[in-house]
Amino acid sequence: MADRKKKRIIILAILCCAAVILTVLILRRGGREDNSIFQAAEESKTMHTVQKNEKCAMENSRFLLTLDEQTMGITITDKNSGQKYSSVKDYTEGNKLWNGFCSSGISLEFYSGNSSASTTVSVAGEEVTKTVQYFSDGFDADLKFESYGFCMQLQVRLAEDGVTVYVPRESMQEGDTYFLGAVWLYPMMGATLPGEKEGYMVIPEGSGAIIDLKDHQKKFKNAYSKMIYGKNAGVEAAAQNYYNKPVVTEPKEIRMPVFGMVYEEEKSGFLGIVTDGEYHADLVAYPNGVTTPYNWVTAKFRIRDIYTKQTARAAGVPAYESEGDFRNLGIKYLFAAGEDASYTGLANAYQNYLVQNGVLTKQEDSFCIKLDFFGADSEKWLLFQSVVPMTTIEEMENILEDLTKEGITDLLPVYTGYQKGGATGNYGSTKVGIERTLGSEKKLLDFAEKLQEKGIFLTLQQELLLANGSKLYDTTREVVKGINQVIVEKPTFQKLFRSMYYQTPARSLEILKKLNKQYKDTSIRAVGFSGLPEELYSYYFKGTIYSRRDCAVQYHKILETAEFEKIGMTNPNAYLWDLTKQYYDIPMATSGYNYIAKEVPFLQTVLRGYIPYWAPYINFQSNEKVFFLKLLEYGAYPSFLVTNQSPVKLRNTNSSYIYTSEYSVLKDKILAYEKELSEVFEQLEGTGIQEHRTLRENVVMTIYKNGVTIYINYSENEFLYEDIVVRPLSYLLVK
Amino acid sequence: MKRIKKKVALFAFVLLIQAVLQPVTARAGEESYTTLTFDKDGNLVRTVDGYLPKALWDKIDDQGLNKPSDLFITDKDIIYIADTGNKRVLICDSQGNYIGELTEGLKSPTGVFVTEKEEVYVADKGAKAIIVYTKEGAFKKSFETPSSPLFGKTAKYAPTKVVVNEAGTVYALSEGNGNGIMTISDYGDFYGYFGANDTSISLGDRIKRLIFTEEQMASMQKNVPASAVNLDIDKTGLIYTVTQGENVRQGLKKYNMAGRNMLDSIYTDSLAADVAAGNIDNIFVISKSGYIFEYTREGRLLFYFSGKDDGSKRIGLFVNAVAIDVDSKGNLYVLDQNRGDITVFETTEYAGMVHKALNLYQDGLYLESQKPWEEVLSKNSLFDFAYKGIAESLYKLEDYSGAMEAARNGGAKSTYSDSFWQVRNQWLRANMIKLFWMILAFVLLKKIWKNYGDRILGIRQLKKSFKVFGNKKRVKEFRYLKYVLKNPADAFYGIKHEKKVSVLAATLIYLLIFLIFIVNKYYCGFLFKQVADGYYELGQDFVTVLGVLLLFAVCNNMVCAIRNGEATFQQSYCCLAYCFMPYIFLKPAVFLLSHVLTNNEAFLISMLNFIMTAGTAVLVVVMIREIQCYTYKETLISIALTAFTMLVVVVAGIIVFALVKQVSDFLVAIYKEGYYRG
Repeated sequence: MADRKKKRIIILAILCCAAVILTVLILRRGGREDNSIFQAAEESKTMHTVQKNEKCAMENSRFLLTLDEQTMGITITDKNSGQKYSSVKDYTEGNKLWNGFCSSGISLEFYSGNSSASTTVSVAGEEVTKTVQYFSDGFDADLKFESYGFCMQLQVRLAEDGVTVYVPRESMQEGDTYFLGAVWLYPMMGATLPGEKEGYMVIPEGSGAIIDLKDHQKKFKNAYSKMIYGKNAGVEAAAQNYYNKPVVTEPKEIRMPVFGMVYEEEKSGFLGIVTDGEYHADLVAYPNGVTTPYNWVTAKFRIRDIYTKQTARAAGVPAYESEGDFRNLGIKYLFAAGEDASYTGLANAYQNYLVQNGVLTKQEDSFCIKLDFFGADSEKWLLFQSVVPMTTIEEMENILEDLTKEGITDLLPVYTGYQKGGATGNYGSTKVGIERTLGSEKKLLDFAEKLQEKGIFLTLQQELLLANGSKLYDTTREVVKGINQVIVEKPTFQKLFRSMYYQTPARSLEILKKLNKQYKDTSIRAVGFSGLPEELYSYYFKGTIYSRRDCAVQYHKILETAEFEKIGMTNPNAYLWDLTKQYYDIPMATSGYNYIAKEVPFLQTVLRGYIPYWAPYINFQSNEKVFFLKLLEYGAYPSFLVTNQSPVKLRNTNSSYIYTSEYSVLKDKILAYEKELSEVFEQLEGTGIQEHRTLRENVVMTIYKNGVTIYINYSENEFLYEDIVVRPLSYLLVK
Repeated sequence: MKRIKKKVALFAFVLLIQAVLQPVTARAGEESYTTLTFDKDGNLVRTVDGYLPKALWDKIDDQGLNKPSDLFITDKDIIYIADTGNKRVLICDSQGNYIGELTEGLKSPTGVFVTEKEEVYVADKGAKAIIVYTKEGAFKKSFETPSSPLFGKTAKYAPTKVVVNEAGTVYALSEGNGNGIMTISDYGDFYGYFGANDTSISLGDRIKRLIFTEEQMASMQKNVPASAVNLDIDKTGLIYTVTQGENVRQGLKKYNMAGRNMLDSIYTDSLAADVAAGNIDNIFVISKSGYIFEYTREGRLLFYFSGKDDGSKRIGLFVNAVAIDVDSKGNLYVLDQNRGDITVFETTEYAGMVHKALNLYQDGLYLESQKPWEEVLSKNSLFDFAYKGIAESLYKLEDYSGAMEAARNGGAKSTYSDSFWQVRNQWLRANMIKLFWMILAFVLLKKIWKNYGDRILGIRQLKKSFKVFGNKKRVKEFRYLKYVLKNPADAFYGIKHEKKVSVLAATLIYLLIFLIFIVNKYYCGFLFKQVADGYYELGQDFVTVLGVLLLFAVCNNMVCAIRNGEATFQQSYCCLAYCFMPYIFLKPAVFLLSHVLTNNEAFLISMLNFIMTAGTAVLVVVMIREIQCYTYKETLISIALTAFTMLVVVVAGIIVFALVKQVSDFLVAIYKEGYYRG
């Protein structure tokens, strides 16, 4: 009897659980729908078919929105600043394609037949049936490109701070002859002619960059176009691999889905945030003189990629994807006026947006010098591989003790390459224990505990993405294949392990779980992740193609499972910022394109005050004085790569790029940096950047939100203004 | 750095700021390229960037460049650009501000040079002349096609590049003229050619030359040397040239007055486009692929950086770089022909350190250079060249063991040898007595062992067990090696007919040979080591040593079998192993000596090596003659045939391997195509 009762209770409990789960699932799905801007929709006013050149106006307390139904162009008037932002230009001087593109609100790229070259079609000048439904704060427009069979609904809504443009996934349709390649939503928003307005376009290239709006006299031949969140390794062919020539370094990637435009004289501008479909989109900025006379900046939503379809082991033909990546597409424009109309203003607007959406939360921020202790790496020894120990636990302990003796306690020690086989030798292994030539697991835990008593957290650095190409893998489950079903390889430009594979998300999760288990309830409470936070790709796995969005969601889920108090990430993309407690290796420059007028701390402004960030290693800076000043300008904490042994020993390993790291060599530098920087940064902990300006060539000023101002003089001459004197290659702090 | 805390009324200040908003050029790290240098073993390794791009001039003020080909920077940092497409020489300052231009008589100017008197020499291949302008920019004179018979009747005169020495002698290159650098006096007299490149003749061509008739020779393509593409002259009048081509042995040359090249083989790109002499006798080379090289005056590579632009126009990369020059501050200016722009590179703090140390070192101030070199090493522990300088300095300071270590790190064998000699000398002096006593003790002990050993119980038993051990079959087989030394012919007879040794013993000996080879190759003394420290290629060694031996045994057996030889394969296999008796006994001695000898006594090792090789060769001949029952003549013929057979086997092996790979690739391709299309 008792047994039966028990059974009943169990069944009941299971049923209850199932019910709860179901409700949660349903609610969550409902929640997702809530996120869409449907909510804003009010009762429809009119339903009509389009007449020529009809313009309809909608408004709220701050903005006036007019729609030109002929071109689907919108014009937004900011009542605060009086500034008008138009999304179409009356352009007739180019070819048919560009005339149509500039004169239309919406343009599409498509593929057909066997050709991998895309064609562009725009609303203006094409046979497009438009059905517009107006609301008090916007409109829905159903567009049908009659000759091509493309359909979509465009939803535009006014909000208190800006305008949203949205295309729901369900509304997008295509026929069987023409296949959608990409969608442009209001690409010419706010575009200017050369000399029309003073100002610049803002692109999140590296740390952030601006492109001047002034007349470039057709000097530039190239436009800026890069994928948001970095290039897609699952589609793009790997770079040529060599190790005996200087390597052209990877260009900096885009870490956040935003772009901006600022008119300096009018003190107005806007920030575009790609809210939906950003995982598979390009950020595009055209300086005037490149193809058209306009300066314009926008996001291009990719639907299909061109990839190399393999026909033989080392040969293939370019082809477009058979299945399109249909998804919701959306851009939110936030308009700025007055003092906010600057790149720092736009960055702060984006910061607000992220805070409101719960992505950015205040993390503990106190000035620390990050010391990455390099454990070991593998080299070839006769027929086998042997480990080159560089910094054992004991040596690390001695170094830290030595530094504490000198009075330095604001340290963030990170142990990297400590796993079995060392740094690159361990890549791809699911073993998470310590390399035995460096010490024992117990020693590591004891050491971490000792540090914790002093208030220092030892962070363990774990690579979650790369897999050493010299090891054997189950290629169906363990390593990533691109959408053409070929294994993704990344050249290392090193001699020993020539290339690396990518581990599948499943394997990354496996490693992380092992790491969780290994250090559960121990003194190791901090961990740093590299590789995975900065990569995004679409891939083939057991018969299915997963998109970059899938990959991003999987990565977020994987990192959510990390059971550590402090999680540092190397250069994470924006979708991981809610999990990031510390941001490592923040870009301090751009890729150096010739149309970039100035490099600015846009990313730093977005993050500062919320997530503390550390600059790349000082070891490898060729102009150390300039870099030191840049740390102050960008509010970035310093980091060093430290070994106990001379890096000469790493010569035959894959870490041979390390040419200086020995503690005895770096010690004085670490002490000097700590002394200089701690005085400044201790006043800036947890504070954001209010303003950043260039005062004169090579003289800049950063104003922090707590009122502290730092003047930095990169030039060889003294900077004098009233009673402010900044000596050459020096800085001045004013409270 | 000063730190002042005060309150400032910022308002007016900010207004001022807006008026002067200008681009910032200060850059720090994170460059678009990596920089490499050579380490002591001749591997290219990473280094701190020596040069960073500072600016990119798309236009000189509002003046665009059209297919420019050359640029020249005067001592006063005035830049002259041969703007070929616009038929002019454009002049600007080091900030890129337009100053003026020269156009008179120019059709297609491709080279420009300015003398100390500020006279401008322009090589114009379109006008087929070198045109000279005065300081003020007025036409002065021009050098037309020389009439001298020395010039050559068929030689072409289309000057592309020009330099002028202090005396006013003009050195110029001409398109389609492979005779060398044309030398023309200040008055226009043709002096002759200078520093022509040599041609390399392939083996095929050599054979053709032997057997072809004159007519056939005439119809062959002429073997014309690759002509230099660019040249420069330094303050002392030395001339530098660069030559393009995959087969060019020396892309960069530095000629002295006598026209002799002063540089040993130099690592350059096969597309070297221009050369420039720097301020501290350093040499810069740019290649069309966009790579920039900086060398010391001896031609040692210091920095190797930059690269090809993929069209996205990242600063510091090039599409088609054609010219390079240096200004008085050491900044580099590189001209890109296709893009028509100039990139300015600035030296970094690190390059400043390297140049400072190098300058002292090159002037022989070793002691003074030590500190700067150490500073360089603190920024880059892999910069082995610095160790060379430090080793020299420590040697002078009589810190010989320190010098030894530094020399080893820097790969400076001669300094290492000298320091080692000193260290060894000191050691010998300190330990002479001890050494003497030790030798004496050894001799005494040996005597006791021999004469009185049998009387002492322990030794007697030890001797006995040695004897038992020595009489074991395997050990006996090894001991047979000694017999080969005594009477080779008899020994081989013994192996063949009396089965003195087994196959196992021979195999063990082969393995012993391999072991000795490996130990000696990777662990011999630094001075005599042929491979880099930390470099291992065991798989390859296994194939080369054992593979070759086995191949020889097999091929020789096959050849002898046809040529009425009398030995079986087993016999030749066993005998061949025993032929390496000299190697087995002498190589370990060489190994030990390599740790205690310096370059001064290196002849000892060479001698031992010679004895060893010759001995082995003699033994092989004797062995084959003995076991196959040949005459010496037959033996030598069979060895020659064996060598030929080995060659055939290797070639056949390669062909078979290639064919199998082709077939497998083909099958994979078919499968993949079917898979993807299906």
